[in-house]
Amino acid sequence: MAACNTMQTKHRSALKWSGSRFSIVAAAAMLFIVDTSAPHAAESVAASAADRRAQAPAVAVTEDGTVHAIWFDKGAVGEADRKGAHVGGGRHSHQAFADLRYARWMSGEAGFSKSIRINPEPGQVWGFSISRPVIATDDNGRIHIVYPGNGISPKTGKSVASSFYSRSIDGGQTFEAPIQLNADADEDLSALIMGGLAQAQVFTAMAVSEQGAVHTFWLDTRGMTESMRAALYYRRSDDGGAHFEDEVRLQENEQCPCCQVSALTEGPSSLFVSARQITGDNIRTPTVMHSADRGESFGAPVETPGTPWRLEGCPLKLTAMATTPHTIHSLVHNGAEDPPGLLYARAAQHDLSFLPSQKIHPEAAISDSPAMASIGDTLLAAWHAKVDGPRRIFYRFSLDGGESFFPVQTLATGESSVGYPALATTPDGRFVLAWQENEVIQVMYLEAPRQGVALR
Amino acid sequence: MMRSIAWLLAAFTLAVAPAGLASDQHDPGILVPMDRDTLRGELAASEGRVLLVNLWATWCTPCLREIPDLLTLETELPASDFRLLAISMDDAYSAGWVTEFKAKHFPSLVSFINAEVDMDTLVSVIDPVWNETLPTSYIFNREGEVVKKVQGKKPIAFFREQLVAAGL
Repeated sequence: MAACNTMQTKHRSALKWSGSRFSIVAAAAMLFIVDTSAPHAAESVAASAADRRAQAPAVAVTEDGTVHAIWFDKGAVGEADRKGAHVGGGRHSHQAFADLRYARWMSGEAGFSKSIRINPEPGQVWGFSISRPVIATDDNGRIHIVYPGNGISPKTGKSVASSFYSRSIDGGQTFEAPIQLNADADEDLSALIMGGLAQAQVFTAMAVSEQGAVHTFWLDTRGMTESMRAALYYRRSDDGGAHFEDEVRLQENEQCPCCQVSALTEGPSSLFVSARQITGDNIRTPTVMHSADRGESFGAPVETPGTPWRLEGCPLKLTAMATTPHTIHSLVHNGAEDPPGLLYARAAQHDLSFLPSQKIHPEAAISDSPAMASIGDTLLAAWHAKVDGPRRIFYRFSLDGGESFFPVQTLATGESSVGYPALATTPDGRFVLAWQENEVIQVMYLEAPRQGVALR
Repeated sequence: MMRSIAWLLAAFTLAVAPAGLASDQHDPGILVPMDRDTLRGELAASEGRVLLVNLWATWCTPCLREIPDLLTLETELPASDFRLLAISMDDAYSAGWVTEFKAKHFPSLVSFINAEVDMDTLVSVIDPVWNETLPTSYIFNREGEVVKKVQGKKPIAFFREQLVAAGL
């Protein structure tokens, strides 16, 4: 890979503390005070070029400490409508003809390498901020990527969107040719979907175990009717992504078709997947399913708590999860709350019995785009929100597996358009935060407070 | 029943009123880029009428199913008292093929297209706490105040009721 490119560096030393409370028992606010040691933010570095339009970052870290970042590239700033000619001349609206770019930030380097394109031909990626790519690593140093791509169905000859997988086995120097995860659908649903696609198998999720089992999930329009509900599909590799089992239709057409799925593994056998299920009269409720046998079987989906959110529309709301020992954590947007915002809930992993949900950012007028990551009992949640000004990135630590949280912190990002945080963890116990800032991808390290004040 | 009668009376009254205002006579064949200042200008130019701002996108199927009803309302009501202000939330960089899409499916729809860096930046002019869910519509009264926020596809009867409640 080429040497480090020219990157923007911004100073992020000023962190603003907001006085929020995350109160289950309001009277017992301050539970323990050991030492007030504020988490500190280092400098951020740009992963994408300043003259490109970058969206939807995702990050992962390998055992050697290298930070790997991917994002959608929607063209050069000022470049209008380059789309259309790359996939058989199809020009229609559901497609977003973007690229998927990758760059790495190696330990000891000042910043990210020059980025490379993952998709073989330009414009093959169906790129929206609300249908993100996913990147993960395993203990063998392999880098796994899933993303939504454009294509022409060989069965119908119509434009479709599909889920693709690629991996690197050389630390990110090269990536293998992507494979399509979903089978080609027989039906032409153009009249139903309307916006130009005959089928869509996207809003993809991926979880990779330390041993290299790769679990992929996507929302699928196969079987969709006028009620506009997607099925949930699953496909797995047990050999680090070299080969995949056949796809499995995991859930029938009961899922919100535009709410990205999330997945994670816990140890060698446990696997969780979260989607937004539609029940009754368009009630869109996030659920969590668990497999204790590496994806051989899954339990029934369990609803996360919150006010029922009825919507005949496109919520465009992904789910986020993390695990700490014996506990699963959920962070999801709920449009029925007043004001609408992110609800946090946790449950024991063995029974998924969620405790009542709480607003992660009570002072926010609106909060959305959740991300979570954990190291041991330390849990980090990040999101974008508005309090009394422009949209900003906020985050919050828990050192006790979600029982109590430190106050909400604001990432100081000036007046620019900011959003869509993504998280990862490092082998030396730090967190990595990536976000989109004026269509440039920024990345920085975060360290959890060693001790301090937590609010219960 | 009473709401239906109120709607018919309103529609009849408005039908005999002078139609058409020059300020929003945009060519439906052109998707006009809209930034924050443009939106503020269009909102100001709409005062004195009941205004329905509709946020839609080509990738939002419920939005596309709702637009014919909104066009029916626009046809039923004189432009001197009602305005439909449609704004596509598609990427402004793809305005070319969004224009083609609109010309094919909704040729009479006058629509703008978001020209800001993201959806939230533009919509914040109307609603600082929009949760980026589509479709979303805002109904303004004649004084230029938002009196109703509507999320998700709704039947035309619902919109008729809301427009009457907004002073139509």
